Amino acid sequence: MTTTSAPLKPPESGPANTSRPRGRVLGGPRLRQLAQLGPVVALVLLAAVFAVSAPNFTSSANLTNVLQQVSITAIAAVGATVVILVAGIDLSVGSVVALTGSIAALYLQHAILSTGASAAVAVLLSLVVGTACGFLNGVLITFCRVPAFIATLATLTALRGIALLVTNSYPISINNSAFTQIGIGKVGAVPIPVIIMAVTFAVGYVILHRLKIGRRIYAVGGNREAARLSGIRVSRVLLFAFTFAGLCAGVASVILTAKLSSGQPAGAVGFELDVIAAVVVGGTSLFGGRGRLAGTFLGALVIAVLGNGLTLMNVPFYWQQIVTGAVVVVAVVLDRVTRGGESGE
Amino acid sequence: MKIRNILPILVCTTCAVAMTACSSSVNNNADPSDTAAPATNVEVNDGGCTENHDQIAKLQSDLSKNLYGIAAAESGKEERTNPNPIPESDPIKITFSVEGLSHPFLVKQKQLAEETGKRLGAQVNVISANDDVNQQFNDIQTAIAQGTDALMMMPATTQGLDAVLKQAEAAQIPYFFSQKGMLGVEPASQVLAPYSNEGQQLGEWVVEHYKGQEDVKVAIISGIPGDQSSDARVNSFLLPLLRSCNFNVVANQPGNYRRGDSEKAAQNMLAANPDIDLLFGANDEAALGGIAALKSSGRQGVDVVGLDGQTDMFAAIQSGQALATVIHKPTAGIVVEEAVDYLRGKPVPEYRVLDEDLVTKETIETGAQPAF
Repeated sequence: MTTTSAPLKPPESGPANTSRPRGRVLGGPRLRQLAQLGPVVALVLLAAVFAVSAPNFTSSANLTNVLQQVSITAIAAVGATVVILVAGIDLSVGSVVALTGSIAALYLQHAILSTGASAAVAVLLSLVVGTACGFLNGVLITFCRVPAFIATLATLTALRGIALLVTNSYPISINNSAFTQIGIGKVGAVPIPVIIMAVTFAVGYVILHRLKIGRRIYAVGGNREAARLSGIRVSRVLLFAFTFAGLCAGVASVILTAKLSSGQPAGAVGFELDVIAAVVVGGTSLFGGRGRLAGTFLGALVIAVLGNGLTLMNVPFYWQQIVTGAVVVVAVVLDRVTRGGESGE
Repeated sequence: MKIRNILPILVCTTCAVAMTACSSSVNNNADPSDTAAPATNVEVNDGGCTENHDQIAKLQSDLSKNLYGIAAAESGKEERTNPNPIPESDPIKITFSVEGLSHPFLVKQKQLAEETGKRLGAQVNVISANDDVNQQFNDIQTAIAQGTDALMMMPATTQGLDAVLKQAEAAQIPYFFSQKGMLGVEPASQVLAPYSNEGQQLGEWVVEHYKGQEDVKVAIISGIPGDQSSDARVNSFLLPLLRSCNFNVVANQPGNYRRGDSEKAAQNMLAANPDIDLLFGANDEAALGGIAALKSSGRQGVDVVGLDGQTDMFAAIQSGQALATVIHKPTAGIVVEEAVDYLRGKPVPEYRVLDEDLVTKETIETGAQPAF
């Protein structure tokens, strides 16, 4: 077959694939790089604005507070990032945190009366319960073929019910100073929750970028069918993702329960929305396959700094909610606009 | 037969079995006796009604450990003075942390605090924690870092804020409780609502109202499960009823202090008990939810009582849909005054509980006004 004599046109300096993009693409790779920097730019801008207009924003006490306050959401967001990377979603995080905290508090309260409670056992118990809840989600989604949204919506309700049942709805106070130190203690000048947050992010990074399971996670999220056809056991990857998210929720619950020195069965309501917002603002795509843990950390920080700065400026709290919602929308729109060329709808 | 096919049936059967087992083994009225104040030995006064003796003993014991029962007993006795008063020339900044703004009473508290602050020349900054105790913890932590002169709080739960209040003590920032309080901490003053007195006053009125009638069936729409204020109201309301021996509590469901949930609870109780005589709502929102349930079910001859003294409840009493309520006064204004006094060096009482007024159709006609 002869080709035409006209030289082939060079590929457009746009998205890598050569099919005609259906969405509007503004500038291609450069904007995509910029979009990845989005959370960084937002954070720097916010910090600059608040340093000037919010009293005490830059004081070391306040900055330490912000890091401490963001740690609970950020740790749970590590697990949520993995789940969202495989194009799943976990709505049950808040209920898992409440249930795990309640069980740990009940253990500490009752063990005092018998053999003497151990903070280490309480922590281990929290991790086990959190992981078990995550595993339950995973089983419902893989084995029972329930869509992630519905499965985690169901566990959100049921696990909350169990938490309220075992505690009779009362907050359970904790008298174990070793355990409560986890939430409010410091090593030198660094609060313990911040150290735990750093460790969790490190573990998440190793999983996503140094282990084989990480590559499989990105593959399954990017294109589940293609991943299945190339031999990846998709069920195993999904099960892993949700179980890991449960483990992260357990860690977050340990810090929250220690900080409040009580198990709160009615607490952490709506927590999953804060967590998902942090992941989304950080640049991870809700459709799966794209996103980095660093982005999640920045996303969580952007939301926390926003809330903190507005509180310091005495801005009424409903404005904080409006602004936070707007930030999430802007983040998602930016993500869609830069992806518009690659996959279309 | 594939396991995938029978799995849903297995799951459903297991759940059904678990639910029946659980409902029979869980004591729905278990009290947090391990976590509240140490028990005091109370002499059981059963008013001659021996068949309710055990129930009365339990209620008396619960109330003696309840913060609001203790506060009512200690009101106005001890005083606290500020060791580091602020001179008259320096401005005062107070931060008021409300648990949320999801109830008209909470909005009224915010308004009162801001008005009183303006009147006294102090800056009052109100922050809302969206009904989440972790958010409230963070808010208070931020306020401490901000360098506020005093803290005022309506705590979202009775436990959870201990660690951040210790930080406030370390930073020498005095804190006050308005309406709802906490045990086990050292506030400068607690101006608490008379949750136990209101319940008792209403209960005694109900006993008078039904004098001579036998076997009056009562359904309770309680408040937020696990909340001490709800326990105080319900338990202190029930004591006079149990002592007079002609009342029978047939149902008790939580309405979360909100109209929507209370209406659902009332509908279920009315459907399960066809001959209820009296509906008790732990607050007016609960009572109004009960009235809505009665309207939609078309039931006649059921009396309704509540607590709070809300405008809508006044309308219901005047139109005959409800019998009585008790005025629940917001204390935010008084706490701002106390905070300013304390910061300037004047003594304030450790506990202060306001008195309350019963409201019926007659008192409205002679000029009673709603609390909010």
